[in-house]
Amino acid sequence: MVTRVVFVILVVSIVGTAATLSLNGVWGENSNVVSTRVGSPGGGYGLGGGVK
Amino acid sequence: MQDDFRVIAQFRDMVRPDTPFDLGMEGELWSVPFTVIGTIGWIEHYSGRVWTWTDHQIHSPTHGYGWLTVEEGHITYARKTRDMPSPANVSNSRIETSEHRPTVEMGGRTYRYYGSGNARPTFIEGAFNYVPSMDDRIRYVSLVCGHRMLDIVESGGEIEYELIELPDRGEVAASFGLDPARLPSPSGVHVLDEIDRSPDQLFVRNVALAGGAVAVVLALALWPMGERVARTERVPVSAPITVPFEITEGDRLTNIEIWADASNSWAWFEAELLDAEGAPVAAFERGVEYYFGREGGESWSEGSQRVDTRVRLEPGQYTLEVTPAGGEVGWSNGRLAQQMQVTVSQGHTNPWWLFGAGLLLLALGGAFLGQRALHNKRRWAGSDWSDD
Repeated sequence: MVTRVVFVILVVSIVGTAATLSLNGVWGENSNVVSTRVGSPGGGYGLGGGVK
Repeated sequence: MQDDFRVIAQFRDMVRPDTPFDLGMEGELWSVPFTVIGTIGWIEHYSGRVWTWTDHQIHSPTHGYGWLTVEEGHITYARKTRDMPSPANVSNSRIETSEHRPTVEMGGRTYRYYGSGNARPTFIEGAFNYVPSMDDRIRYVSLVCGHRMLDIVESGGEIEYELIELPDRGEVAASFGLDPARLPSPSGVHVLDEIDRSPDQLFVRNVALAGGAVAVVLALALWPMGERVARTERVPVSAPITVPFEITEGDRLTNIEIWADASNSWAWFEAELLDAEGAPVAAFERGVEYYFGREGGESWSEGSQRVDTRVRLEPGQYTLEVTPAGGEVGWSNGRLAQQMQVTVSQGHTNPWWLFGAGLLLLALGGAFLGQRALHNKRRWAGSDWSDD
């Protein structure tokens, strides 16, 4: 029973995490966009990042 | 006990088949004691190939008679049944003309055709519940349902039905005290060796498949998300375009689509994004290229007249400046882009995370199904049925 509960939690966590990352568009930016904002070299695209 | 089943018939000058069982051996099958009382070696010839196996008649004071069969290292247990399948027999003509594996129904089960043939004895010794003869000739048809095989055996104008099961080989060997040196390793997977999943394994498989399906459905639902916030008219590719727009959903992605009617040519664009104060925020260059034609009587196309660029922008007012930066005809009948259009939309997602999670979970669940499919393919590899 414990195995089943742990596995369900694992699957829900995987799907939930993937849904959150998908909704937030993480790693969805194009890599060829260059930020011209001073202080944000390379565009700053990453988790929680942005061009501003 | 052994005196009760002393040899009553023995045929001289016959080579005893290779078998680990001897007359008088005692052991248990599913906790029922049996004694080996007889041995018959069988041979089958077909199309230049030869199959041999050995049947041992066994007896239990409480459960009557049965057979232990040794073939290619596998040990099976058979018992007669008075039940009759429907149809009662599977003829050779049915086997040869049927488009699908012939089946019979018995006891609520559907047995699928596995193999058939004609065999004769090569060796007889011991006691039996009938009078065997070296002149016996049998025709058998084997059909399988899960862990159970039904043999339809014709001999001397009579038909008998046998149900065959696959006991645990190690337990049989230990119980009857078989000499490992006389028991060859099993060849391949026996058709009755069906995979049994534990309830936990089935649970893991089903939850993984369900989770994978949910992830894929969610990904497909997120895929078309996005709300247009600005679109220009289609304007000549001769001067820069300025597109003012406002972003309200800073937690999602903004998509900038550039369209140009390039035809067998490419067109290049430079873009710069300015914030409300006119300060540059980001810059990128993108091109569209689109080629098409006919070759070998079939139409083909390559590339696209649209190109998308996704950026992450915080909420606020922005201005996009898109400047045409040249182009070139790259194919016969080509034409440089004459018009362009820019569309900005917000609220986009990156559903590849969900597709990845779905793939991971479906692969996990699918591994169970794949293993079973592979195992079943090996189980049925010995069947003489061909779909051709």
